[in-house]
Amino acid sequence: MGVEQKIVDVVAISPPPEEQRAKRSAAFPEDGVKKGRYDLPAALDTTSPVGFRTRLTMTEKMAQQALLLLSLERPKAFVKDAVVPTEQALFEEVSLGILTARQSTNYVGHRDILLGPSDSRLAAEILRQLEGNEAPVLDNATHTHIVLSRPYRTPFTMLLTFIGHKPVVSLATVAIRGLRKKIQHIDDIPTIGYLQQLHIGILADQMERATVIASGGRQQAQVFMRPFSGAHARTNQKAARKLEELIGLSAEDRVNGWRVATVGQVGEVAAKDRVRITANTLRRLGANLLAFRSERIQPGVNQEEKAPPAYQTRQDMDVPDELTVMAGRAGYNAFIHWTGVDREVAKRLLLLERIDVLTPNGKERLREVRSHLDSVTDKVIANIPLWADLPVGKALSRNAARGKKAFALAGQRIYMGGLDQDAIKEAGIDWVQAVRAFGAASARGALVAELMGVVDLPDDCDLLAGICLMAGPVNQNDIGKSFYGEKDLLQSAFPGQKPTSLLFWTLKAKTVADPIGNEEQLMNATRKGALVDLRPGPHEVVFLRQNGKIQPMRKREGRINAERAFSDMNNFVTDPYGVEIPGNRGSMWPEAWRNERPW
Amino acid sequence: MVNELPTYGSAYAKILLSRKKGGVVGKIEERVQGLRIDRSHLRAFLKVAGAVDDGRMPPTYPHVLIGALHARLISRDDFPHPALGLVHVANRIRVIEPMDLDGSWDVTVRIDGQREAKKGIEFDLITEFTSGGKVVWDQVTTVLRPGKDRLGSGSKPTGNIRESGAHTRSSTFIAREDIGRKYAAVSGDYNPIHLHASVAKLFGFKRAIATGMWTVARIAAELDTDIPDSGYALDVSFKRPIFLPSRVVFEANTQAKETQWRVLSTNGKTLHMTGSVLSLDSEKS
Repeated sequence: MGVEQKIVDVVAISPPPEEQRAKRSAAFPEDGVKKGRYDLPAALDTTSPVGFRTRLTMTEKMAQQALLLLSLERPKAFVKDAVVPTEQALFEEVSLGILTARQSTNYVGHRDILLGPSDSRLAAEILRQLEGNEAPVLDNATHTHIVLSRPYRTPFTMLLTFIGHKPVVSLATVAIRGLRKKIQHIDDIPTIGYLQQLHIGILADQMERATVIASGGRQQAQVFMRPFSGAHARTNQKAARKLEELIGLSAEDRVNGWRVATVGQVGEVAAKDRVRITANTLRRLGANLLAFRSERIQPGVNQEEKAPPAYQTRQDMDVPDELTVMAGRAGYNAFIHWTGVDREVAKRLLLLERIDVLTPNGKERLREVRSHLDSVTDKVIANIPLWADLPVGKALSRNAARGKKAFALAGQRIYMGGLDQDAIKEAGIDWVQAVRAFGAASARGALVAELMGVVDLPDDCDLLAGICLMAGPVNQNDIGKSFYGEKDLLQSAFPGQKPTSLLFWTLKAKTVADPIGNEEQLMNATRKGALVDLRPGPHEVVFLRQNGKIQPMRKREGRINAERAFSDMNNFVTDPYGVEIPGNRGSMWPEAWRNERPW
Repeated sequence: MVNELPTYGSAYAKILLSRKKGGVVGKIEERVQGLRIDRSHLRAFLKVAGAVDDGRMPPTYPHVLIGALHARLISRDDFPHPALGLVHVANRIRVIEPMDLDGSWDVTVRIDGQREAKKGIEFDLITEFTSGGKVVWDQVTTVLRPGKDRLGSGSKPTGNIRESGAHTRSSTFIAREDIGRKYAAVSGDYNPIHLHASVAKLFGFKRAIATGMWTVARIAAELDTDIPDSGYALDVSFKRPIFLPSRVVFEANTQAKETQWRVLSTNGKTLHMTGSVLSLDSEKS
């Protein structure tokens, strides 16, 4: 896999004229007034390292340095006898890795078990027994991430269990499918299975950058994903089991579908091989990456009438075409990095259709896509078995109907992306690995837009651009394909091929960030108004193997993490008068504990 | 003067059986000599407070060590007020010198008299740890013997009590339902209002309430190295009880090793306690 990646260049976005600029300026609701999604929460109750963060402006020079990480090549060797990172450095590494990798809000489908140097040697021996490694297994790792993944299961997939059944026999077929999902881990529709793989690819790609940023450029990660994908995963089952034994994966976890998905060796690289980025830029970048994940950029929703005026403000902004080119370049970088194909092949394999209003016939195409998705939703609602829907007060059909709102497609650039199974096979790439690489490519491309959204960010703007990656429309289309004989969304753009659409990107150029309270559904009455964060804390998904025992990270003596990573950069949301959200800033983990070297 | 600490048992028996009606507190005192730390007990305390075992004396640990001496003082016949119903309203700890965990201390606990307060009668339990004849740690525990409106004192807060300005720490923590029992097991303070909701109800509380000094210990643990090794005063003013279980917000602002902090409810409407960590040098100047 020696294909070189291309450097990604800065393409700054010009802010709109001063009179059109807007900031979110969210405030606390008045006493006695019901909190809305545009208000600040009374408090934030979370163990996640993210919190609600604001974006920090980066100069063009800083951004150019940061973009070096989007063409980061693999480490060639690790320095011998390097010092093991402190607990604090590991916390920051996983904060930028597993704890913030783009995930569907309510899918906590990954676990990360960290091994120390001696266990890393054992892991390296096992890795060398695997077929399909993307790169050489390296010696002298200070630590190793063993990342587990489980099938994609959320309330949405529970709803899917009831879809696509024939009226009379549904009582039996729903039960059978439910059991097969539980025991055999089958998916209702193929794209649900692909979601698990997309998430793995996104995380694997992010782990490489997380290591560099958290270590101040001293360390790099050698991440292996292919040996645990598709056909290789089957061939390597025996060796993978050894890794699972090393990390003490229980029989129950295996029954629930947890498997090794990715392994990342981390070690110190020689000074001459390090990425040239200043310490200040790395800290700023780390804080910004958390800010990018602290809110979602939702398409369409801030056009609603109840939104405050700032959200309704017209903002004349142009996204230069060069930005799209650079986002594409970063995406191709990721795809070739994870598949080993050359750039021209990657361009041929990644199927992309732009469908926004700025393209010729864009309005018609958008209308066509929306109408298709709505028709699938109507069929789903009509098809949900009444015996399941009535006892729950038609909650299933109501939830299905919510899809129509979720699939609002708005933005200055909207792309649908996917792959052709036959073309992937022809290129000699395992399909599962290709889907993972597609996830990596889409997230890396999106990162370009997000980074350019903070270059020379004026004080009176929250951001200049944001991006939303969506699988919802693809899943809806897949329901249509699987149960109602519909065609793939990409079929009309690629008539001679057999496309499988996988993701949507919607890019918005605007200066106001999306509402902070957009996870209204997470409000928990028992928490008295505090916003409950579903993003995991380190103790929930990260574990350290120490002295043969697996210990949750940052759960100790009755304490659980309350620290926000990169909090030294001080990018926390406040109201217009500078009042902070109680609980948002967090509290540093005890110094003695964070300075410990775990191994 | 005695060389061994009394046990809570005898004090509790006297407290429960006493028929005190109130009166004027005179000067009374209890002493213990050569007090040492049992490391396993300290470890148990650190665990219940969520504190780091970093070789430093946790600022509120001496309070736990001599809890039984406090109990004996207020159970004495010459202390006129019934111990049940006394309310701990404020506390001031001064860590004057670093305290070697292997050291030994002579301890004095005394009450010098009482005073009229807005909500009843107040008196101070003054505790001093001395080493080589020098006071290294002292504490003023301000206790209220409530007047008429005992539990409902003070108007219920209604508005929001958010503060402008930045904090250096702002996080939530949980006071678990069993924390009163766990703290009691370490401190020996089995005041029933901290133990279980059903018992606390008998004393007029809707649920059990967190022991104030557990909360202070938990906050001291959270402040971690924001608290210096010595030469500081840790003050707390208890405002409203934390009912168990509860999630609360802790906010602190530390500048140049001096901290102002407070604990409030997650809806931002109830202030549970406020406090500070101030350098003794700044107090002198």
